[in-house]
Amino acid sequence: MWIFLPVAGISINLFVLIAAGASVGFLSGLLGVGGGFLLTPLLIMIGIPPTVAAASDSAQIVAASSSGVAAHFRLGNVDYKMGAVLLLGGLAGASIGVRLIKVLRMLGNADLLITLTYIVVLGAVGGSMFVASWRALRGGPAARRARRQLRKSRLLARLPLQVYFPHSQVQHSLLVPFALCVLVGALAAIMGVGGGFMMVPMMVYLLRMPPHVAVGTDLFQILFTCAGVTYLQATTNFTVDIVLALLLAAGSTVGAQIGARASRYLRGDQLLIILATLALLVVFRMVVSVVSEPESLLAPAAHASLRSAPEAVIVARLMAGGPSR
Amino acid sequence: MRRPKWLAAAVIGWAALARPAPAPLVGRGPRPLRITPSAIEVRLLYRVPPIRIEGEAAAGSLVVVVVRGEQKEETFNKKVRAGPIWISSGKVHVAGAPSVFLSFSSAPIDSGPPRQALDEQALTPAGIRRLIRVDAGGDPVDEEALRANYLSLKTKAGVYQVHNGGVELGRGEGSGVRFTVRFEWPRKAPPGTYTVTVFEWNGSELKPVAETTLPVLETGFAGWITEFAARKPAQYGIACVLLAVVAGFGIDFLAARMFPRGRRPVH
Repeated sequence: MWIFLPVAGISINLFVLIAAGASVGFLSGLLGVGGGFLLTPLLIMIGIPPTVAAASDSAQIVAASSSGVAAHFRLGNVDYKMGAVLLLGGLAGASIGVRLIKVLRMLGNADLLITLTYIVVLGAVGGSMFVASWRALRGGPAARRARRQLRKSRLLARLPLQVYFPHSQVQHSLLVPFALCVLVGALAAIMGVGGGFMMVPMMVYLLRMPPHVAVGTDLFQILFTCAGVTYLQATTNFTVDIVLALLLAAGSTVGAQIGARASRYLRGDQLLIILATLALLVVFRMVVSVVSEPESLLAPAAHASLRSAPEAVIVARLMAGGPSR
Repeated sequence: MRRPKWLAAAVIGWAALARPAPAPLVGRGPRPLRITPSAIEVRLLYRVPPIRIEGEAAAGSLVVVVVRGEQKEETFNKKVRAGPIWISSGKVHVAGAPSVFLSFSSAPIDSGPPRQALDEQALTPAGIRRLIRVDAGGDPVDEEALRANYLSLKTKAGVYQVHNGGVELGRGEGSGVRFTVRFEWPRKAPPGTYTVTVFEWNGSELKPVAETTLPVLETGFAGWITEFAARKPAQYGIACVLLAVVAGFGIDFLAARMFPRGRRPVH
């Protein structure tokens, strides 16, 4: 069965779209990542114009993350207080990142730097997460870890604006999650990806939040970011195809439900090892794509329409996790 | 002095009657040409019937029927080599080529007219290549390679097609012969107005003998959405967000009832 996408102006097989949405939704519900970095290239591959793919993807992430947030809320996995701080920090970081990109572009070959940053940062995060989760699964050197954490905790406890986050059962200075999110947001903006990959490990390892709460809270902040992106894309670039978004959402919300339920049967370390493996696979794909000669010297430009867009759109788009350039 | 309203209405009415009638859509040119359906209506559930083009050509001539879309500028990322790796570096704007190019001929197209004549009328991908303008924002680029890549992307998407022998010649009627072209409309061809042109090669001259337009229109719910998105973007944006949230929570509500929460496993 073929369906016509009014804003994209092309027709696509209905079942292909639903299957694409379902597979990405499953990962979103399981790991708390937005899925934009996977779905947008997938849509471009099946023939959706890149600008429409990137914009409509935001609308489907709204549906998938609201479904995921609802499921995680019932499971008691959303820390709203922490989510609000992370959202503010992430937006501030993305804004800084966009300005940095402008400076890098003026300096010359920024794309090379961006590509290398992508590989190094994602590889380092994925690699260290994989090693840490693997050690935890096998019962690593707990005493040494505990000693290091105690020293770190004393240092962080001296910072001002200490706030207790009862849901996550952690106490931090407001400056800590905010500053970390500024950093992650800026890196995400420079790399042209969403922060999900970095945000979840950061919440677990640095903010010491329980992994399931980190996943639910990350989805909570993604919901708000993507709602903003969808509105801005619809009003600025006119590229949101609601038919495409709802079809993807039909698949992804069901996938997210299954993913959120599947996460209950996995331990925190197991969730992190899956996320780490996914991150390393993305890095591997990136390395293969940059070293092998491309089939065509012309690649579809997903951000073409953002050239003249206001900075708010670019910040929001990057926060939502655009395709990897 | 204010002119009476009836006078203004009479002037407008007279002007409308006196205006020459628009040229008939079908068969503009010396030869008749008929397309069935005369317009393609695209609805949400995509069901476009096969297209049939019928016309008349001079007996013994090579007939070429070309369907072309409007020319639109497209933007791409440019891939360049930086040391051992390939990266996207800057944008390339490609213009001058039709959005869709479907060519049908009664015999292999290069068996008749000379290459120069084909190129002049842009009847082959090689002819279209000459029309393509590449703007890389002043960066030095291999324009020929980029043109070839553009054509290959279009061919891969199914919007550039060449069908040698795609024109069926029928029985002759005096000095003329009937021809028919049947084809499936490309699914990735966007709505718009397409031009259908018939060319004849009589052994010495290649010339267009008939031309008409083929509108592809979005109708029904699909048309309404396009209109809504373009005319009221703010309301459309809000509707998109609300629909997505409602869809997400709605499916969660259904899923929670279908799969009630069990005891949470202890980690």
